[in-house]
Amino acid sequence: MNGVVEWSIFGALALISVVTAASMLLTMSMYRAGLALMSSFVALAGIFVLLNADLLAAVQVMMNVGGMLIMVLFMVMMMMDPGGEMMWGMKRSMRIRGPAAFSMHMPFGQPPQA
Amino acid sequence: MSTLAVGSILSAFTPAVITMAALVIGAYLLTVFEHCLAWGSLRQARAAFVAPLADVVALLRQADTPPEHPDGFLFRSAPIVALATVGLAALVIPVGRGATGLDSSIGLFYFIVLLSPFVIAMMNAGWSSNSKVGLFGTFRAAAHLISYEVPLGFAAIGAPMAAQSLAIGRIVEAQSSLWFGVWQPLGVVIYLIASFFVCFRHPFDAPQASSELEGGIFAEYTGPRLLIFTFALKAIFLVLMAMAVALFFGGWQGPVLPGPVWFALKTFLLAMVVIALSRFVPRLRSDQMLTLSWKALVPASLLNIVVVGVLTILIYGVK
Amino acid sequence: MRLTGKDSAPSAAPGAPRARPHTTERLGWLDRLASRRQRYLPIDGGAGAQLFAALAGQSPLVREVASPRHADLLIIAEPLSAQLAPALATLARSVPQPARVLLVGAGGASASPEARALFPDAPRVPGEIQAILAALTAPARLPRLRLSDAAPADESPTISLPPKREREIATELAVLSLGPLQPFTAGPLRLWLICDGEQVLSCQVDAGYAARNIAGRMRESAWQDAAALAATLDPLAPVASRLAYVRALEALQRWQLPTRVAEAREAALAVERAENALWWCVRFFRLLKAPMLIAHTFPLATRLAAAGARLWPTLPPSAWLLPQGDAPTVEASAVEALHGLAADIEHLARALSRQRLPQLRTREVGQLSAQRLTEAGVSSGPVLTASQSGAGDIQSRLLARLRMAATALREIAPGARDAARGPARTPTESGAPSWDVPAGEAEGAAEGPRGRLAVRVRSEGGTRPTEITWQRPSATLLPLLPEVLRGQKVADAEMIVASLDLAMAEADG
Repeated sequence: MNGVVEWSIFGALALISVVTAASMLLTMSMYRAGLALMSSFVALAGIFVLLNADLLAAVQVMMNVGGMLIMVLFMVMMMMDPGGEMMWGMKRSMRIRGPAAFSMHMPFGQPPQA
Repeated sequence: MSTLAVGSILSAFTPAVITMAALVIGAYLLTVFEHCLAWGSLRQARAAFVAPLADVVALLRQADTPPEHPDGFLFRSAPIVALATVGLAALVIPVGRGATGLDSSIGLFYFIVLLSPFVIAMMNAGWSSNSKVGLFGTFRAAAHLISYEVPLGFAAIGAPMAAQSLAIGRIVEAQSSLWFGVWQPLGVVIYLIASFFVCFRHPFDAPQASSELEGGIFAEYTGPRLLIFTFALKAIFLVLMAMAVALFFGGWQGPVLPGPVWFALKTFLLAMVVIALSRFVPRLRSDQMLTLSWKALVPASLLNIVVVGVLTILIYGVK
Repeated sequence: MRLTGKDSAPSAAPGAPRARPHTTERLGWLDRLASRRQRYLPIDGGAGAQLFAALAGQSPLVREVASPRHADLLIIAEPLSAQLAPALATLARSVPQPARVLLVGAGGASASPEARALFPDAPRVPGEIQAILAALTAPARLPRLRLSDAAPADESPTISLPPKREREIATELAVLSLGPLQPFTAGPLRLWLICDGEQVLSCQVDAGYAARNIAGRMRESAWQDAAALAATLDPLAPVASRLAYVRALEALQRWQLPTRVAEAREAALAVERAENALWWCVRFFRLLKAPMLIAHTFPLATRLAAAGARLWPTLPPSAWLLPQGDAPTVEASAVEALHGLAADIEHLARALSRQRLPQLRTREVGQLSAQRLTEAGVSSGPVLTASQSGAGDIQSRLLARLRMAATALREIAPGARDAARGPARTPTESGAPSWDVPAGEAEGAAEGPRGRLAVRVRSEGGTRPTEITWQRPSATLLPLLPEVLRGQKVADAEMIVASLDLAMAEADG
């Protein structure tokens, strides 16, 4: 019984790890890529826990999640369209439904022309 | 499945259920206290007990109106991630002798690590809302993310240094003669301030500023999702105060009453004192919070580590 | 997961909005529990600033929220103008169901046609706290929020970005649209903040949402009706606006004012200045979110409101502010209460200037020099006083308003004891008001809460004024916004706008 449970958990975590790592490469959004890499590492940490290496799991999460976060932060600060929103229609266009009476609009972001 | 398997699965779920129930009750009492502080008159005390329930029912009945073109997965998963991290973090806190959901040898480390997905969930909430208020809120929440980590970690590490273990149960038991908070006051103060960064509480609630930014990261959330976020924020505050009690104020130890009662009393007392003190400060801007964290708290926490190290050797001797 | 009560079915009739007789819903216990606490979004058409400031801390029954997504009740303070309709419609569409709406009237028996056009079956209550709370304790009588089919569609505004030279340093620009319904001004104002991150690069001001063309309407009406219109110029300071007009008429009539009447008028003006200043403080501290300061200022404001109402036991100022009209005697006990209140306000001002913690957000933020203000045409008001005697930042404006309130209250002349029991002198008795205005041109002014409110009246001896020109203090501050907000952070920019205390109903005229 333990074997089945452990194998299913391992299978799920491995699947998550591989799928999120692949989606990190396949997605157009840098924010999502950072988050996907974080989830991949968290799934890896889960596998460490299965191997009874708690400390390694916690260290894995702390190091990588922290590192990924700072990377995402810098991406968002420096790059144009880090969220990949133009691709999906998250245009944050001038006409947005919602609390437009007190809301924020953004023109289609163009970098300042030199 | 045999009864043994069912029993083992049930016993695995019981701590989680108890933890969640405790968090719900704790969040309710905390909200009641906040209302009493805000309205300030005993005449309205009865209303203070009903108000959270009324809010919960009203939020559950509210229609779910997602914004136009949100980032669907992040928008829907953010409240659940926040709730999950709060629940997982609350598991390691001992409420009595041996009464803890997850008795891990790296309990404190596990706890601190789990706080960052919480703040990430808040960032995702703002980002995925497809509104500029959310975007501004996300950037402010990112400032929170880099502000809380170092001071909180360095302040909390004083207790394991003295107890020579990361397991929270061992830390509590090591305080049987003298509370760590007595000779680590700087650590206590830094920990409490840094925990305000994590909880997005006044005076550091710029990302969700209701008067400035129209709700910020929560501007587009309605109904049950908003309820989960509100609950997660109150719960993480309680969990951080509980951890402070475990690290610095002796945990569940006390003379006459049973352990869990002392633990609950100490947690609530600490929460009330801290909330009452926070009312004197206006809402700080994000850059003021960053200044406070990196220019004041980080050097102070480094000093704290030095002082705690020296005092540990003096009090407990060299091992 | 939705727990619905027994709700009445929404109206299915399309077409022209008509007043639908709403049925009383039978509420289940869940509905009753949920309605014990209503989260309301205040919508201020120009007259509701003090009302909402008082409502927010009044009762556990209501809680103010800032985002329409979090609200289940819209409280709309009239007057509403047609320019506001698109923004209001968008806002009403963002409120999730179940939601209710309540109209709060400034005056008059029925709702304005603009409000009726948008919300055909919203109930209307007079502009008083108790009336609002009474309406909210019986939520079954409040119908559902239903936007009429004639409501305008969502707007798609366009703005112009700053020139390329300014944009070079910025990485990416974000345009923050504050308004038109935002909590920083008393009334609707749209501000476009073009930001580089949290820093404002430039700002465009879009005013005119509260324009009701008061001057034009006064030219069309007789002298007496024009007085009522004058009182609505600044709904937050009706005494000052009405008195300015009355003084202009009396100047044309060459009327010499008896001392008693002058003292009574000054008392009314002083109370109005102090009330405006204190409620502005409450609103400002709420925006700043300083709980202890709110807890200190809110009781002062409510005490002032109560004492101010006691000042005129028989008639309110709107009944006796008439040209050549007499004034009732001021009640002495109320004056003493006001003098005591002045001492408390001064104590609060002293404490504020000593405390360092609140000054973290208010000190050296949004400085305007006195010279710049006089160049822009600002000749009076607490903003100018703050720049002349202090640093001209938010902190000095806050202190200037508190000191203005204290000075105003302190200078009220003591009245007579038991004034209500004295000989009743209604305005129609000795000193009858005269609405005969000879030809000529004169200016009347009154010291309002935001500065000197003046009106120039030209008459040709007929039944109507020929020319009416208002000088409005808030209107002179509006053009200064772009330069004072440039380079500030967004949070500070919002506080600066709040510190200027712009009353948009007055600024738009």
